[in-house]
Amino acid sequence: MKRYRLALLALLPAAASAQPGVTTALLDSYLSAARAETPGLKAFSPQRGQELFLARHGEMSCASCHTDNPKATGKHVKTAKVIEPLAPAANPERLSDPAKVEKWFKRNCNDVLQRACTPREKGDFLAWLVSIR
Amino acid sequence: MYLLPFLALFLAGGSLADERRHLPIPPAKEYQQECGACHIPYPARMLPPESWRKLMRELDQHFATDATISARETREITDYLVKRAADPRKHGAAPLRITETARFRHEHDEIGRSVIQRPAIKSLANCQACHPRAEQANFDEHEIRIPR
Repeated sequence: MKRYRLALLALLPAAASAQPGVTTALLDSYLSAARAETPGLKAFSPQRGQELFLARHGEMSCASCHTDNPKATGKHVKTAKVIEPLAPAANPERLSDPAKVEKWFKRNCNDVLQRACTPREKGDFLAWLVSIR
Repeated sequence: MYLLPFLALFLAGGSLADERRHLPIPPAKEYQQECGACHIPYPARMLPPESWRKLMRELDQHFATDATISARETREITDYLVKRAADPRKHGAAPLRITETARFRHEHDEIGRSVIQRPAIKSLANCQACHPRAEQANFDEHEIRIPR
């Protein structure tokens, strides 16, 4: 990261942007839970995370509302309400509130997959999301 | 000369009256956060209390999605909506859709189906397509722009 951007990052109020510590803690907690279900799991896979995001289930995929590019602004498929970008690289507020992350996993996995996402799926997806520059 | 301000007020009185009747009150932060992500936070004054109570009781079947929130948030938001709801005496039934209220139908009765079906609009639930400040509960008729 360029030095001036690093300096700017230091000025951002802690609550508004994803602090690296919060994101790491979030991923760690999903990794612990994922390993409990899949012993021997080494690491999350951004590749699998992207595939999960793009996979169609009937008419719906995550991309239906969020577009296939997490840096882009999305639009709710029914109401056309604007949805801010998912990638922290485009929207520094993302992943700053673990409760909010969990809430939206619960709602949207239910909408798209008709079930909860497993900790592994959540971790894979987040690993992909944070890898996007 | 000193008549001018009075004249200005008199002429402005028409639009001021509109504003006074429906002073746009931006939605409360919690309502915006919990109920304004998938659609605009629909103003409480647009439905009678019983509509809001029913909607909030059945969040798990919220127009084909499960929109449940915590028990505390459900209680607080229900209270918030019911307190600011429309006068139930002016609403015969308690519809779950604002678009089914007499007031809404009256206000939109000149909008043809082909207009609503335009890609930029898609649905009458998409208030912000024509009302740029709908998210702040402002439906000032002078600001309406119907996209092509």
